[in-house]
Amino acid sequence: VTAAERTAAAATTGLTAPAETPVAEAMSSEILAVATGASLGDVARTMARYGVHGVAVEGEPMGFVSDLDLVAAAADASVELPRPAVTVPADATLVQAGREMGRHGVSHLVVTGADGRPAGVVSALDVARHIAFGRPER
Amino acid sequence: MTALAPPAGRVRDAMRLGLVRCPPDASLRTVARMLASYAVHAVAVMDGDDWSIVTARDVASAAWRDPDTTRARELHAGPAVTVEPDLPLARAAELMARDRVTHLLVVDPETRLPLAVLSTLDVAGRL
Repeated sequence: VTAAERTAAAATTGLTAPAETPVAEAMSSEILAVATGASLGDVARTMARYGVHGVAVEGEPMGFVSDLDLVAAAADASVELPRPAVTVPADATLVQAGREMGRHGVSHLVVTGADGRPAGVVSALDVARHIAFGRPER
Repeated sequence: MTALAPPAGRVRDAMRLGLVRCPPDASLRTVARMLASYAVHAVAVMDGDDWSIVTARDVASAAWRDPDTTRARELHAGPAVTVEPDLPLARAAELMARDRVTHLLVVDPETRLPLAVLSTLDVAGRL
């Protein structure tokens, strides 16, 4: 990737670098969620149908099941799901979100708004997109 | 939530042939760009005969680093977990759960060369 290509990509996408990007700007504001009483089979089918690596589970607090959680539960029946979602505030930066992903070993964070309620989901791929095409604001 | 039966079949039934790969000195930005452009969650890093897998999570947790001077080899520690196509999927699921890895490298049993990547999503699709 040449510097010229990077500049062109940034001009096209208008993306900013991760350190300067609030999570709210990169997240998906649609949360794919299943009802509290859904089975793990429902979660697996939802993932396969939408090609997503994680599905939220409605409830207080919101739960989350990743594809790795699901596979772990299939391999070991004592694994309890869902687990509580790892959350990040909407005004955190993508650098902070990436650190949380690394610390908790997850690829998806549920984004909470100013009222503390779930407002979206940010994935590792969302952060990668800003690393790839983000242009520092100088 | 209700329990789930282990997946039936073998690795070859769920794996998708081919893999996105890069050299160990590829920059963080290049790896991120490969993930974003191909909408994949893992890139295989080939360092001579040694293979490792860098995931989108590895890339995201390195977002604080310089994207143009950080190298692919610095993003993930340790070799990829490898499996063969005939391995039962249930066993592959156990390996993923044991090592908390989302991607296994599927290698040819004779040549040991990589054939495919098996992801947790591929396994979830068979549950």
